[in-house]
Amino acid sequence: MNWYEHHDGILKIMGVQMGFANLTLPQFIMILIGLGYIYLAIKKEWEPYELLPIGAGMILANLPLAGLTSQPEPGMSAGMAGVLGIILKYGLYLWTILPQFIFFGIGALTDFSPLIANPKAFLLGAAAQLGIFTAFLGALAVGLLVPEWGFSIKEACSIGIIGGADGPTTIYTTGMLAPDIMGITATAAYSYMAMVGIIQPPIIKLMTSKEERAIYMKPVLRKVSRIERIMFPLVATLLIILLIPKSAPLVGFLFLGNLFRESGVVERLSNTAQNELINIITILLMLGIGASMPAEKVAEPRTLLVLCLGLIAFAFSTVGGVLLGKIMSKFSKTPLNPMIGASGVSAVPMSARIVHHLGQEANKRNYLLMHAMGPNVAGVIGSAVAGGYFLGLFINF
Amino acid sequence: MEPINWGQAWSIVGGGLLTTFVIMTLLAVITNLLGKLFVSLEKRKEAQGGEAK
Repeated sequence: MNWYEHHDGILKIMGVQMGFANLTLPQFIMILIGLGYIYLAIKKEWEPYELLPIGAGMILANLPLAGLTSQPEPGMSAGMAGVLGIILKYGLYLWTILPQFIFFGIGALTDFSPLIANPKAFLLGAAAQLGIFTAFLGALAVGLLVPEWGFSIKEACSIGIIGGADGPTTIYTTGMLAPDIMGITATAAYSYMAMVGIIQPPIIKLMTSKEERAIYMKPVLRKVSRIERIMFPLVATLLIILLIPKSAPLVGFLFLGNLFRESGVVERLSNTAQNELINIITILLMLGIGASMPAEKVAEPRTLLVLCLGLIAFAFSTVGGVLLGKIMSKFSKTPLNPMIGASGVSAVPMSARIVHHLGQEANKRNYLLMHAMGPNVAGVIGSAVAGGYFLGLFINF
Repeated sequence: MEPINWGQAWSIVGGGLLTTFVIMTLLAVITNLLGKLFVSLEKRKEAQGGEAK
């Protein structure tokens, strides 16, 4: 009996039970991408709260034979469903409740005062949704060039919404319209949000002259009273949801969280929404997103196309915001730096910080942060409105 | 893969942009009006407080 015959049984067991023997190339690529995300989160500190758990989710979900992504099914033996599978099924695909609770936490964290003090910023928040509709058309145009790579209208809506630079809206809209590509759109949205510091500055610089970037805006906005801050979420909820009912899951929860914050009478609930709740939901959601990226699709041309279209969406949203900023700057009675339009994408507060930084680069006296925060929080509302609009076209609750 | 209805696609884009701008404009107008109302109420309150003193 030679060595192989002697160890035949052991080798067979190893072949069946060992991960190494079952690791496929797509899974290996996904593990490498996951490691890349973790590197960016730790070394570069790019959106670590998102990228680190997404990367970890990618790695855990792609370990062969681990079964972490097995989703619970009727008749399944006890304990057979994996934890990531449970998060995916109930948190993202079936109930889609995690994005709504993230919005709830965001509402509790967001101070809408810069927007209330300068309502013109709403328009910049609207203009910065241009990328959503550009990428929507782009996704449909793919089918004209290469029919087998084409996207359906629902998929195009889900791809377009990446341009809102809003993770929860992207996840919620894709979950409802095209769950098959949710892993890709969600990963793209959060990845580009993390890279907003790389994507936006060249576009802003390309679209504005140094003189425009140097336009000085008074750093002080008017003081917003408590009653205004309380009235705002109530009025906005009623108006938006009565006009676009399908935006209720996002807009309703965003402003519910904000009402908790501004009411001043439920401090414990507001603190929980701002801290423990949003932290727990972030862990679950980001692990779920990481796990939702299917390994077998990672190298497909359609996946790469979604990533490209997402980038186009992001770029055009920035273009839309800056363009309207330039127009408003021409007609505004008080000086208006057109760059603040770029912060109309809802990557809060990174986008506002970038505009502030670029403003200081052009003119050391400039302090644009508060002016940029207005369009920035308006962008959150704008992308939820656009998402609700898409849902209203196709979903009947 | 169903062929794309480009008429529907363009109407989605037009409708979407219009809807987003209309809603955001309405929000801007209402927020502006509410702001003016509360600022004037506050000023009136302050003026009344000053007279009482």
